[in-house]
Amino acid sequence: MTKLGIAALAATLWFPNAAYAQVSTPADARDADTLLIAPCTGCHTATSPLAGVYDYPPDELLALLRALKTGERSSTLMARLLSGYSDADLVRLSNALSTLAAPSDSYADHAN
Amino acid sequence: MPTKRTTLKYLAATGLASAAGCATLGEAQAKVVVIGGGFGGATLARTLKQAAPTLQVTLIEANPVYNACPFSNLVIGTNRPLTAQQFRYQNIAAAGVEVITDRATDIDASSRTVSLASGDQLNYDRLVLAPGIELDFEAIPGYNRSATEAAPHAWQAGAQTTLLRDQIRAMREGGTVAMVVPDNPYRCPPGPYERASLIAHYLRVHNPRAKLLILDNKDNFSKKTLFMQAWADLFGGLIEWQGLSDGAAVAEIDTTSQTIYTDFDKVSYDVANIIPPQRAGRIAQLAGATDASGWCPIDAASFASTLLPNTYVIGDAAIANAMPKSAFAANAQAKNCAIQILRSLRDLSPLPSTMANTCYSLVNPDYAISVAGVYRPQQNRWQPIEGAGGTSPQDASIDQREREARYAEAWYDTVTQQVFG
Ligand SMILES: Cc1cc2nc3c(=O)[nH]c(=O)nc-3n(C[C@H](O)[C@H](O)[C@H](O)COP(=O)(O)OP(=O)(O)OC[C@H]3O[C@@H](n4cnc5c(N)ncnc54)[C@H](O)[C@@H]3O)c2cc1C
Repeated sequence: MTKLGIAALAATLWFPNAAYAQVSTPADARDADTLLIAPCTGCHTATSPLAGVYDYPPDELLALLRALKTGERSSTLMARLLSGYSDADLVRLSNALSTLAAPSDSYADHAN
Repeated sequence: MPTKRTTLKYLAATGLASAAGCATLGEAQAKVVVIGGGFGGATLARTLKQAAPTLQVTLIEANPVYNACPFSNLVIGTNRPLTAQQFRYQNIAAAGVEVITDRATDIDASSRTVSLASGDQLNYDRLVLAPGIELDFEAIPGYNRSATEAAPHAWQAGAQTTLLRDQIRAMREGGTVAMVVPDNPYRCPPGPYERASLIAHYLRVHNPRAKLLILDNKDNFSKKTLFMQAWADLFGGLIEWQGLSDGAAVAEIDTTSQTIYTDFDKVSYDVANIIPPQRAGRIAQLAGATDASGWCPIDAASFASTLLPNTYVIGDAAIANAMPKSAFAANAQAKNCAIQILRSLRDLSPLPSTMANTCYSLVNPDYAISVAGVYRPQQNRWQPIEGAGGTSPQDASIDQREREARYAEAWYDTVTQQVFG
């Protein structure tokens, strides 16, 4: 991740307590992304019958998350959850979720 | 045999793949002991080992078989077998976690030692307490441990679940089932009402003149409007709910005469399901990790105990404020806490993050409602994000209710597969 990317990411976090870390290294940024998707992966895994978020390239996933958040695409639940996430969060979510499983071979599984 | 692809998929599934890439630092020799192999502890042990394979991760669980509570209300109200709730630990052991089937009996935080019932002792660098709940058998006069045979709680799944099911099935025609429900906080806020629904679902067909009376020690409950509406629509007047303001606070239970005494009244029952007040699992109390409330205070963002050094608390035992005591939350907290533990082993400060929860409740096997929340640590408390979350809409179509029922099943299958599969 670039320095600029890290700064942008840092701006999306909040720091209620001085004892908490700021995102200042690539390792922090990776941890921050892993933390952000922790609740998502309770339902959305590579093998779950629920919508497989890993099946999408990041830009498609981002478009989908945005449409679910606004209600442009209807859902039973996702609009309620996504309304707790900023657009910057959605960018990070879509990148983190798609890059996790993306490595070449696992991707081919879902090509059809 | 796991191929590289399935390993990648597992990491993707648990969301810890990125941390796995940098697992070569200070934690190499560290030893993490996790007490309690439920949704919290089992998730944590497994994801930590995946993220940092050189860590020595030990999971101490008292029972060889885990009985999952989510969906156990279906065992009571339908033909779902108890085996659909049961999971063993062999896959967690195969993933490299040392699984010890024993009960932790004591913790010495100064020497960083856990004592087990077998007499063995274990040392740790970091300790995770995930012991779930202990039922308070002093809270309701007449309801102690030996009364649970006559009047099951079924709030820790297993033999209690099938006992309650069998008592309901054997109940005389036109009998009364009484449920006693505690005040907050307790495990699974909408759980009692899901249970009432599924019992009514059974009675409506098999014992239609029967009654179900809920005596609630509070006036409001999770998804109340949706539950009340569904009860009226689906079960007519079968379920009667009485809250605190109706005088439903329970003063005493006499399982011999099958009577529940409320403050001003008494109720005769045929079957009683008593859900007593709760507190953190006993080992958390013995360790000194609980405060006067009986639950474990934590530093919100990291799940670190504020009372014991080198100790983290996740799941039902922790005071996570607005985040409910649910399996969904325990699973998410475990993944969050795994990262915070790795950071602490690398001398990095905790990194606050957003958390979310979803709890589905089945009103019948094809009709579910949900409540969701998104949370942030603010002023060292888990606070809901304004405008996010909430319940299923009141005017949802029957089709949407059915979709939520299918999603509920998919969640259960996914999360249990992720943790135990
Ligand atoms: C009827 C019912 C329905 C529910 N439905 C849902 C639902 O639909 N969705 C949802 O998200 N949640 C649901 N829940 C809530 C969910 O079951 C709990 O929130 C969840 O189990 C909490 O996980 P935990 O790891 O904190 O505790 P537990 O799952 O209770 O695990 C704790 C483990 O620690 C072990 N242990 C305790 N002390 C020791 C010791 N000293 N030594 C060794 N081992 C020890 C116990 O044996 C146990 O296995 C429901 C609960 C009930 C009762």
